[in-house]
Amino acid sequence: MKQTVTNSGVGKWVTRMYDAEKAAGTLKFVDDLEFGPSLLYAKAVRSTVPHGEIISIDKSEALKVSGVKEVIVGEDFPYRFGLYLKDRSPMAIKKVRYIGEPVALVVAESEEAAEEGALKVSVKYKELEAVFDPVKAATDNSVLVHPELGSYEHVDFITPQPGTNIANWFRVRRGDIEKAFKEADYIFEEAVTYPQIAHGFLEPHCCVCVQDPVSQEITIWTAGQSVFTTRDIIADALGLPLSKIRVIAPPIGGGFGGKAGMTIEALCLAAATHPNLKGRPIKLFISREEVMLSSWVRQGYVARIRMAVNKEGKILGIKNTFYFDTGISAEYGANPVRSAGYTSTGCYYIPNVWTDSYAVYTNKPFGGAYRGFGMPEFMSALEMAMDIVAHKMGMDPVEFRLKNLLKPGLPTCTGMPMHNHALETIVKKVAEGIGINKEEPAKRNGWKRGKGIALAIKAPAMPADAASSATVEILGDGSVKVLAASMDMGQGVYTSFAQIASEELGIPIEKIKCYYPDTQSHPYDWQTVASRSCWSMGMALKLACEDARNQLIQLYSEYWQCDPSEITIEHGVVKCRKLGKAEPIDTKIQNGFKMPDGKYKGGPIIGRGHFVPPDVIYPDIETGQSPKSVVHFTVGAVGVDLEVDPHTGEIVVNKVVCGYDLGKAISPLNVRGQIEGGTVQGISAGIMEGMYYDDKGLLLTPSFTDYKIATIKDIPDEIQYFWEETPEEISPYGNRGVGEHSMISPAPAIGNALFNALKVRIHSYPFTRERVYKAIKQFDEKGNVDFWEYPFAREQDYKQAIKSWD
Amino acid sequence: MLLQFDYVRPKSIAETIGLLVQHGSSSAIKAGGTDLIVWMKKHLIKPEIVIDITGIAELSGVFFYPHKGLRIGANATINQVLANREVKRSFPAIYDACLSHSDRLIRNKATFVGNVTGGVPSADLVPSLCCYDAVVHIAGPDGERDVPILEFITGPRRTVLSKEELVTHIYVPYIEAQAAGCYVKLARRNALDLAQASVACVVVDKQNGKDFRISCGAVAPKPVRALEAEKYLKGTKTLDETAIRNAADKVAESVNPITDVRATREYRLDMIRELTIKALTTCIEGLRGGRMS
Amino acid sequence: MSEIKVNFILNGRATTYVGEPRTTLLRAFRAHGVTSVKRGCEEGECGTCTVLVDGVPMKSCMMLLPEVEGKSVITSEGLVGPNGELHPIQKAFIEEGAIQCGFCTPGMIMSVYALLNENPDPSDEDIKEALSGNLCRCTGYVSIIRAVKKAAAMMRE
Repeated sequence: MKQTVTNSGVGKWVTRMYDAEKAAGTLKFVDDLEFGPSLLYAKAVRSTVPHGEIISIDKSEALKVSGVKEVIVGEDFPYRFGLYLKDRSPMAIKKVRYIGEPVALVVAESEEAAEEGALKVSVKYKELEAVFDPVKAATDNSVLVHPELGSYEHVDFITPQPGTNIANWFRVRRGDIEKAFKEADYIFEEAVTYPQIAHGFLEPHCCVCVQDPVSQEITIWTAGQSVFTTRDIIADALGLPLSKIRVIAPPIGGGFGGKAGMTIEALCLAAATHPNLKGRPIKLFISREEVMLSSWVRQGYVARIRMAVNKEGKILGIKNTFYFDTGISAEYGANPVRSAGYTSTGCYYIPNVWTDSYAVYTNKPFGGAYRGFGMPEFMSALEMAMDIVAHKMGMDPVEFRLKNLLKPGLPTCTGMPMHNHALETIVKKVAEGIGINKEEPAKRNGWKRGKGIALAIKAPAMPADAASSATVEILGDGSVKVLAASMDMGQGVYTSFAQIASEELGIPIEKIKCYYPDTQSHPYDWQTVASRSCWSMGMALKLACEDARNQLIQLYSEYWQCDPSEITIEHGVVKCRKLGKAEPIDTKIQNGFKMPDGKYKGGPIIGRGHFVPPDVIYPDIETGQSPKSVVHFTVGAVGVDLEVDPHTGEIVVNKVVCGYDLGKAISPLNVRGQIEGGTVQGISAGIMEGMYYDDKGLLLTPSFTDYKIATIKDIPDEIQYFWEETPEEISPYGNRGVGEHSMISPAPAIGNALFNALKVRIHSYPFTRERVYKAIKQFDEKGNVDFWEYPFAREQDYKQAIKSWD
Repeated sequence: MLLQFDYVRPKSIAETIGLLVQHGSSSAIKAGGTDLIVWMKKHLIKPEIVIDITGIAELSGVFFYPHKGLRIGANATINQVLANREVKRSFPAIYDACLSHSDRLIRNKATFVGNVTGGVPSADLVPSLCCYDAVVHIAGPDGERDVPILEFITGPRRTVLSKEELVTHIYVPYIEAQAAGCYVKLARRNALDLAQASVACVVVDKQNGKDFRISCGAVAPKPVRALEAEKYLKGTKTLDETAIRNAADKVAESVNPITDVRATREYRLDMIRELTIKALTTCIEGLRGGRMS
Repeated sequence: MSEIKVNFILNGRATTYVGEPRTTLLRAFRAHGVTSVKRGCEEGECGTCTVLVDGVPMKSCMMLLPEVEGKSVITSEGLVGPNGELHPIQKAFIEEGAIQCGFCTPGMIMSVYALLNENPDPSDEDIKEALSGNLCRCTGYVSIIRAVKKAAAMMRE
């Protein structure tokens, strides 16, 4: 018998936690916190050359600025940090590797003084040749971004290639690819490119650090998704015990992976640990331009996909080459490379697989985690290739996909058997939802209308030992304190946790509170990434709640002298219906029950739970094979009905229909939010976002003036969403992740719809107006269906006007 | 961060001119400040004294003088211009241009005149002013003068203003005939973006035929009217698709765009053609329908 | 020029700020603890700094401190009642799931407040026009449009 009753449990539409404070504007983000007059401010001085040796750094003028206390350089804090590969130091040491890399840090009594000081630091460089194109960097070792790559520490599932620019090389070798190509009736080869893009969260990074001069203990307040991983990376690099580092994460203004791992904390620590500054809190707030330049970006991507297909339309083999442009650091960027690698047959069953997925260094800002983590990049290529192949074979694109679908039981490219899922249902519903086979006239005069579909798949991309733990305390008035160090960055995970606690404890959600992460008080959780929190932390939390509930029931059963199975907790009231007992939870829960024998028993109830995925086996380094390479997959599909103006290249999306098999919607309001938000973010990335550089490696889109993201006027006319719930076996409620997935396939769906509308295949994302127009023009003038533009340096750069302007 | 400066808020034009004479090139005038503050933050300009003219009564207001013209004071915000009914009725190309500028919030602060004195080639309000033969009224220590809009901006971010002068208002003469007008703009997305290319068009229905005025934005170092295209259209009897296309080609020949991160030269030229076709069609149909635009 | 004194009304209360003329209104607010006004870009592109000045919504990163002399400013803290009651717009945002990370929310709500004061029954087009200067990266705007319509209905009652 279920022993808890609540109206705010799993699956209910509830009010989100912390929304009232957000609406009123009283919720404090890091930049809103006050630290009093002892607070100092830091501002970075940044490299103006893309690759060079630092000859000299002249601090003298900066130190004369009133209020400036110190100017710190790389040698003052010579530590290398890294999550998977230690290739990054917070400031350049001897060498700079991209325009924007911090070379010095000015610390002053006010933000203005720090900025003024930073303007006055002068740095001399000896420029070296730089490399910006990832294909060139991967295939030509004449310019090495990290000549000492061989000496960097790394985890054993990352394989850097010393003497090259390849920071990681993930391989899949399954079956006999040569045979597949020999036996194929058709061979197709397609290439796709995608530039780096930015997360675009509205809150820039901000961090405050202080080190106690006596105990050496460090306290960090940071806008971060991963307090424990930040702590561990810092402890490892600085050689400090974990107990001497405390990381606190106040609410963050959007993450999308851009605040995962360690971002600016080490740079701020360079100041906080300085002997002359210890004891004073130091604040580092980076401007929007600095966010664009020197925090995580989504890696650029060049893919070559070769497919062997028989005349019945079955894909016999696939050969993938992926170049992920990870800029100057692969400490995090090494992993999306793996994620794309071990999912490199996408939603399809392909018996023979050869994949080479490379993380490539270039002299540009560095790649990290971004919603989708390798899957948006890969799907932008695979889902376009599938569409191209279907079309060339004269097959319906939906039929072709269904014919090759990775049905439950069939092996993925790593050999892991695919679990149960409702992808076929979803694909059919999406196809029907946009009327993919119904040719409809454009609503806008002179425009062309097209429809396209793209599938999506992703597993949580995390180490096999990514652990979660949680504690649950029942307080003396029946309220509940949940310490689960996931970061609620807006996705609503604290609300989901409260719903879980409500479900398991029978206590109404208004009495349950989750607290923002603090490594001092919370138990360990790896990171809030990978769409893992409701699943992994959800498991830990459910176990913690069960533990607390069992303790409570044990105590009441002895107190009332009834069997534990006869006790229920209903809306916060403990009952034994058999004995006619009903009591709201009160201070007995805290101070102990006076039992029938006169003795006090009990005391504060603390439930604990922990979880580590039980059975993940790392793919083999040479072959990528593993019977359980990931915990599970979330699958889905996106259909797009759009119109395009052939005169200008402007795209308007009439309708998006999308569906995902998420196992169980714990918090439907939040699931809706993730699907709507991720869909718009995916569309924005598909039609307007890209980081462009000039031929000297200078970022030409360093702010929102030129890095454009979707405004309210750029959204589709209609977004229809639905979800399927095929339960996941190892899961608290059958749920799988959904946070990232809606971002994965809007872009290729748009690309496929564009082809349907225009008969032009644009292989280079994003589909800006100019690019679409150029592709149409090329088709009209030369008859070419396929169109590429490389994203690494602006094409036709800076062709001057016929008569010069000045 | 902005560098330090002195801040004054004069109460009259005369006081302002006195300050300009005293401080010359180490001063900057602030009306709306939406460009100024951003440029100062990036240290593109570093004035030692900022002269805030928003307190000067003679510089405010959007006034329409029937049968004469529209007077837009230096302090009038773009939304204040939009709010004057006569603008939509009699100067529709200006109305369109105002609506296309940035977003509602910025338009509550940014001044109409400020967009003109900024002299940026992609300025949204300038092409329409060129089509209406607007005049910029300037006050300085040697008195006041009028400069036609086409002569006011001399290059990217350069105007004829001396360091001791300020613009008091812009005057747009009323067209005493049926006239249609519009401004069409292409940008990378649908809101808050600089123009990649834009076209303003005004067509006046006179007794002896039609007058065409066409001016483009973001595609030339200084404002220019597409005189060849205008002459061609005036001399063409049948304004069919072919004629409009020919005119569009001539407009494209009159401009000289650069390639930058927002668009390439080639795309801009093609878009000027497309936008001209759209603008002309809109205006001609507007006249046929007996409406203003 | 060093410091100046500026007197204005903030959320209905007479207020005096002391600061340099070069301080933007945004930074002045934040230095005085009004942290609902956010710095997302400080160049007028994101809208997280939106406040009402004499009833008109503006981006405070594009205003200098001395400009607020004698004016009346409202921020999202000012929409909350004396006993913590949320304004119908704030309630509607919560009910429609129009808040995720919350960083764009105060500025967005001020723009909505200005819109509904002027236009109590806005169409989708009106809403999009009014909010085109406020970026949101989390929600995809769909729930925000729902929330504005709901708020308008609530306020019309």
